[in-house]
Amino acid sequence: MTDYWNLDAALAEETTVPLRFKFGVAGVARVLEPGSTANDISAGTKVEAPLWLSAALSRRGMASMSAPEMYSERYRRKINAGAECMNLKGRAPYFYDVGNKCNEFMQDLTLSAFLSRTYATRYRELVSKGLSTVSGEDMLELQSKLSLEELSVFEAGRSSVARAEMWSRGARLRTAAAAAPSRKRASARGDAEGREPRQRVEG
Amino acid sequence: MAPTASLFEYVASKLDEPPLTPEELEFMAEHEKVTIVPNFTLNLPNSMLTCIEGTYGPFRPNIPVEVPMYLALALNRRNKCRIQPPAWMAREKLKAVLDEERTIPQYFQPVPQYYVETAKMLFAEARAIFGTNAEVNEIMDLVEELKKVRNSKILDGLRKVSGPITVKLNNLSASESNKIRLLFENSLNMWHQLAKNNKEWQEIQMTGTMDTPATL
Repeated sequence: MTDYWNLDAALAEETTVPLRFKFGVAGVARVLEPGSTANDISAGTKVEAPLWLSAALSRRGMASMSAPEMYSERYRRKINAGAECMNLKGRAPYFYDVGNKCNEFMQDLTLSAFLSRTYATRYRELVSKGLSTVSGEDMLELQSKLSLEELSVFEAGRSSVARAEMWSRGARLRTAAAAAPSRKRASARGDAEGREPRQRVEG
Repeated sequence: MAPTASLFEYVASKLDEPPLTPEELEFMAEHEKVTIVPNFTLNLPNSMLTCIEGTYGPFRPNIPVEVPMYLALALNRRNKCRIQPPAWMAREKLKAVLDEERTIPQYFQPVPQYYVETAKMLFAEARAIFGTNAEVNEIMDLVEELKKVRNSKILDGLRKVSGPITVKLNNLSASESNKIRLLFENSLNMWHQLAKNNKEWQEIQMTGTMDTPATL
């Protein structure tokens, strides 16, 4: 079972996919098809349902699902032509995750090869921008196009290089806890020294 | 057929607590041995200093002795010794390694495992051991150059990775491998997951059935 508690994985499954019901479903028409007038969904209707629902129903043979628009022929041609320029964050933030999950249910051999190819091209850009120490517009521009999975890889690279840079320049990670004790120690020392001579004189 | 795992399981967000921080690497680098020339006599039997992790000495004036870096730096701060620059930091040696590094793009030259950390610590606390100001700057520049050349080599190598393959990265120093650790590991995991999906599909085609288990 996939990691039940992983928040990102749960959000990924919220993406809607086209779902075609084999049997009728009672009472959920308003939820799945916001504009419908009837209460029930008749057999053979096509709706856009979240991935978690579609996957569960397909596994039980109650419905058949297909891949979202992002993996259709038209988009594939676009992506194959210019993979690193596609803005995945806006259109399909969970591009790879959803693609992987759809792969189970669809008669499509080429889907995962297509995903690998896309990732290969975008990965090159990821590495160059992620591990360089110069931040700037290039990096921001790339970041806005990455899907969320790519973004975490990119962040991992960027943060480890940033830490190494900060360390080599002698800076320390600024945290509130680190700053406070030094001030307290200095003031406490001052107070103690002030108090002691007075006590000796009195005693 | 088991449900496919999410890619987010692998691309774990260990961003706030990385498995190894540069400060921890510096701590480990302090264990490397350097030669020092003490200017005191240790008032203990045999002039040996027994620490938890080893015994060092004998500490007699003007007689060189090998100690770990943390001890050398501590003594240096109290003006009790003179640290001798490590052999690999001689100007000619650095120049030779730098040239080799530049001319052979496929391999990395063997360098001390903690060269970045050692160089940083020595330049910060014991600049004078390298000679005059000009000489110190020269060696600092050489080490910086070495870091940059190796860094760009690493990036070139990483860019060529295009699948869940094994990559050969010999002679990488500790700080360099730490820089690429998270990114490299996570992207290899992503590759692996995408490829696994592909294989599962091909197996299903071969067996010809697609069973639908009742449980999720």
